Amino acid sequence: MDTDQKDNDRLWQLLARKAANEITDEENIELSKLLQQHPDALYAQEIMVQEWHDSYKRFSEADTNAAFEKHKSRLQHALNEAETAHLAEDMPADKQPAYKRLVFRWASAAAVFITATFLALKWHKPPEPELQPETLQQLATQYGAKSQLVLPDGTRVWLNAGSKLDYPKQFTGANREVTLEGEAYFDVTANKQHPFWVHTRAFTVKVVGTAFNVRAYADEDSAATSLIRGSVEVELTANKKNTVLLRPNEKLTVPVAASDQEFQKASDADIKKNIFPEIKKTVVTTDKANTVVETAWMENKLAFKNTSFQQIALSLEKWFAVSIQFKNENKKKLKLSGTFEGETLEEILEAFSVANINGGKEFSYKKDSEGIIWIY
Amino acid sequence: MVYYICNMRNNEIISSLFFDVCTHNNMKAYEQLYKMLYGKLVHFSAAIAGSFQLGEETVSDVFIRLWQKRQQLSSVRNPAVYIYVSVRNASLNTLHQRKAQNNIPFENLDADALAITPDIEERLVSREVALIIEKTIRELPEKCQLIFRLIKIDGFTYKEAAELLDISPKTVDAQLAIAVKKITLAIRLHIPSHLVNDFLRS
Repeated sequence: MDTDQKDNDRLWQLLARKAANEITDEENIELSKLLQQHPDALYAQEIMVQEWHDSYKRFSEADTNAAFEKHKSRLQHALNEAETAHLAEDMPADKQPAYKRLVFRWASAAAVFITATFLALKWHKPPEPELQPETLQQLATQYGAKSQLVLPDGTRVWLNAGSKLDYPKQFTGANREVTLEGEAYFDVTANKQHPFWVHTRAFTVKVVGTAFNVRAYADEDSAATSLIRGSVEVELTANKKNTVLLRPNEKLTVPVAASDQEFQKASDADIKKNIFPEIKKTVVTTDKANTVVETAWMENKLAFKNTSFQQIALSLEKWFAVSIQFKNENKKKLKLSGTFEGETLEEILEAFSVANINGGKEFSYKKDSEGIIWIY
Repeated sequence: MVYYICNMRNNEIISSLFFDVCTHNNMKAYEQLYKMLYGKLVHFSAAIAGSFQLGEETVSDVFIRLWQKRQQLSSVRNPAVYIYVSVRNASLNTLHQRKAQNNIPFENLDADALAITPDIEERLVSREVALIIEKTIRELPEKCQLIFRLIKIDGFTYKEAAELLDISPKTVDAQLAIAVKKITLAIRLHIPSHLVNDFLRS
């Protein structure tokens, strides 16, 4: 009798753990054995592991959407009140744009990443910004460092390693213009009267108010821009008449190898139809943890999804301020994926190198006496 | 089983949406987070506060504070628990006789707000069986009902549910076992005839 009771108690306990998804493999085996002795509980097991829902006042998708709309107004109201209350106090510059941008953000959707790749040889010089040279400031980051700043209009810029941003002390004139070489993430203050332009060698990104990433390193063979929020117009430097419109979560990649002639003919419609496959309009990439690859650097993460080792090496060089060279040219084409946060360069290389299915190593690496990393 | 994958991914999704809000001021992620948790949080709040209207306002208030404080929250380790704890405290605040601690008064929970039922899949769970299960659960002590709900609907682990209710994980384990026992015994005689062979085959 006693053992029966204990058995039963154990049965309920294990069934409950299974329902809660807390059961271990060993316990699961124990449970199967117990169920053989109590087959009528098998039915209960089936029900326990199912999905359950509210039986009273179950909210539909429409209910939830309506509730969010209501919540939005309350939020806006609360923020307005807070802003008025704080007008007398000193508010940090970066907080104000957030409130003003709130309304705009609801108007636009997600942000898009645009990545543009540079053509080292074939691009024309970008147009000179309409600014007096003496009022131009520059923020530059070394390899291995990142930086952040707020522009005169409240736009926030995050600068990745090895980048340079030229910007004026004050934004005057019809447009707010800056020039970038490297990689930066922009969260632009909305201003319809004065569009925000980012000049790079390959293209100019024109925005009203939005958040996007631009990757335009001089040593890479393509430049890209990814849109996160809002919408942007990308004007190709090679042919200013053709512009590409980007929507949130879209990414435009412009490779270096295409000829001038192709770019001159390329229009938004053509790119969509994939007539000029080198200029790619794709969707922003995400990894397993839903980290957006193109802006992972902002969270201090390195994220790659099916990226060539050559490209990865270029990113690692800037991130860790080291030089990486390939002894074996074939290894440049290896496609690798991974997301890293806080790992050292050695740990990252180690992680990538063990990806081989046959148990061997994909590649090996060695640091020489000058500190250069060689890939074999 | 699909169930496991669903609930595991839910908390991961909640974490990543939460961090996206905190580190990128992402309003779209904020919206998704709200919509994902709205129904569950309103029921949780209504169970404590006793009214769905109050529950909706409370959840909205918590999400307003969340947006206002977002930049300080990026190091929160368990966003789902954090949000539920905020709703718990805010809901307790609406009770007139609130004691100093953050303990939920289990005896006064609203049974309607807690009520749950398994998804009816025609072949497996008939209307009749679902009603028996609902009735059985409603007859359980409120504390037990809440624990069952936090596990099955809100997708928390034993540890997380224990933290939220300020009890020990062992209590959660024991209470859940009681619920499962009562339900199993109640439906034991009601296995649909077409399934009897499937389940009673030894």
